[in-house]
Amino acid sequence: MTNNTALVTEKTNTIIKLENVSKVFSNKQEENRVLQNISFDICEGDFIAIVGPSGSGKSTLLNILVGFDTPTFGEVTLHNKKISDLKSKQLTNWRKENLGFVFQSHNLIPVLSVYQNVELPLLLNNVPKSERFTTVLNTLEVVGLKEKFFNRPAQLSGGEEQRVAIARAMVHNPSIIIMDEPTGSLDRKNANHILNTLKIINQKYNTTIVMVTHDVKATEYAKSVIDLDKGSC
Amino acid sequence: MEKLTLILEYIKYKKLRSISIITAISFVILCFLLLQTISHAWELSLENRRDDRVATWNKATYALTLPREYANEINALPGVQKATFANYFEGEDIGNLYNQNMLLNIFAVDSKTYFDVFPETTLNPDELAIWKQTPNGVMVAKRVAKAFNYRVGDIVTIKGKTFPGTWKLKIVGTYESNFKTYADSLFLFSWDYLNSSLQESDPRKNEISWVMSLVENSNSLEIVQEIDNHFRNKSVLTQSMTEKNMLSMYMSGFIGILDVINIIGVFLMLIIGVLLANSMSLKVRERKFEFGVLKTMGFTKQDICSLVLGEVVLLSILASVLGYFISIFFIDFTLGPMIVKNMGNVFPIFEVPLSSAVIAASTVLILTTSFTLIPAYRASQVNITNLLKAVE
Repeated sequence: MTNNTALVTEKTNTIIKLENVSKVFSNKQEENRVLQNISFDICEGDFIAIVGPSGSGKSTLLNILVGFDTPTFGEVTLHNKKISDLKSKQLTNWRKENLGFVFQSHNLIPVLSVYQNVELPLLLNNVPKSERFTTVLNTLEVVGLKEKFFNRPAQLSGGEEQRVAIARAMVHNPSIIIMDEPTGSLDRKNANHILNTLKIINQKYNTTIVMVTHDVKATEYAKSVIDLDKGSC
Repeated sequence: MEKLTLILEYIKYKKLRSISIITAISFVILCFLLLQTISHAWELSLENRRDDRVATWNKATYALTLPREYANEINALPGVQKATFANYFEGEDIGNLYNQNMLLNIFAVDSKTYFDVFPETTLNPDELAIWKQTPNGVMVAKRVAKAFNYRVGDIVTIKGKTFPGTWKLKIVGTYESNFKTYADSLFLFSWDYLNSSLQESDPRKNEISWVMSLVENSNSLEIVQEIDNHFRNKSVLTQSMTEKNMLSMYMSGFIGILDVINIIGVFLMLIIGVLLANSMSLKVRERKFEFGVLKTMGFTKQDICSLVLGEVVLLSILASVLGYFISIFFIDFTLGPMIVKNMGNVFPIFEVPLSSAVIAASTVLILTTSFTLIPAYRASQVNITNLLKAVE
């Protein structure tokens, strides 16, 4: 997390734009419309919580947002470029530079230490070694895990693992961090710790966060909430 | 760089599994190289045996002897260019502790003619001349001299077994064969010296173990027949054979077994390939979430594929290197000397051929990589969407 403000000024305001996005899963027997005419913009500094009951299409929406899945109808724009116009390699590069991702679980590579896990995105973005070390340390300090530097994921608690995952998601200063139920497998105390950390990251570094959650408490930390109900909001 | 780090960390993380895989592959390489060494030693031995050199011995058994004058008679037969003769002399160097594992192949030979019949040898003419003039002189193969630390001028005390007594022999020269064969591992002294030491009453006086003769290559088989026909009406019948046919006959029983062993070797390789592929399939299944996470970070399908294949390649290389060194230790330093000692006339050389080691390593690499292509492809196809659904 170095020089974040400088980078912010270079970014365009809208990071992801959804226009009339619909997703239909169909088989021979039936057609299941998961998302219907969803439109919204995700701008720099946003902290958005996407909520809704199970089966409302939250994860599908998340997949479509970052190009893991394609919409049946409508258009998604990443940094003013239509996702449908991007080749697979371009999309991968966009993710490499602009995206941090945090899953509910299974986030960390078990064979790597905390340091190595957080270092991975920097390696992928060809950050020089000398810079990597300080950047990783600073980022671990933000999530309060500087002292767990050498630990393996198996030696961490669930909450600590999620904080390392957040550190890894933000270490390369991405445009946006996407989270899928980041507090879903944590107790209240750890969940609050994570949410507080996210709030600090969002406010201090102006990092855009989009979070899918079932957790009502989590929505209190978000600046805006998208409530999905039967595929529409 | 990050991929290599990941691969190494994965190998270190599941140590037991990695060690098991490396051990299994190493064992297969050892088996494969052992079979290849047998095959190679056999081929080398046969390749260096001549079609135009004929051995003649007592038809009844190798253990019985022939009269000395048989050598002269064979030498006079049409088609025979030069004949020489020898007696096996079983004994050991009681004063030498340098190489107790290597059997000293001692022969009492006709020093005047011996090297004429073995033209593939290289030796110093001056030393040859001295040998011919020194009754107790010894001409020793260079590699034997090296193994026993013999130098020209040394007096060697041999304790005879077939010819009991203590024999003080003097090293007067060394020789080297252009081919690594049995002939390149001998300790030769004068038959005249041996014969003159025997009492008149000794039944072995003026007797020889066999005659070796160089014949015309174009009709060597007919000459073989001619030699045996010549002695058909004598009191001692002979059995003659070209050097190459002699070894072929001796080894004929083993050829079928060698074929079977080679097929087993191929199957071993295939089995290890399948086992490794299965192991990698399990690993891929265990690590699908990790691959998904790596994809979200910007790892491409090719990157994921190369992670899986890279691990297999690295394991195969490690196993090949280990397998090679185990084979060198087991074959070259343990089994090899025992075989050379006990079967030196068939396998004068029993060492892992480097070319076979390269073939083994390449085969392992190609097979294991090929068998891992499917798991690697599956890993590269990990669907992040499905992973997210699994979480929800």
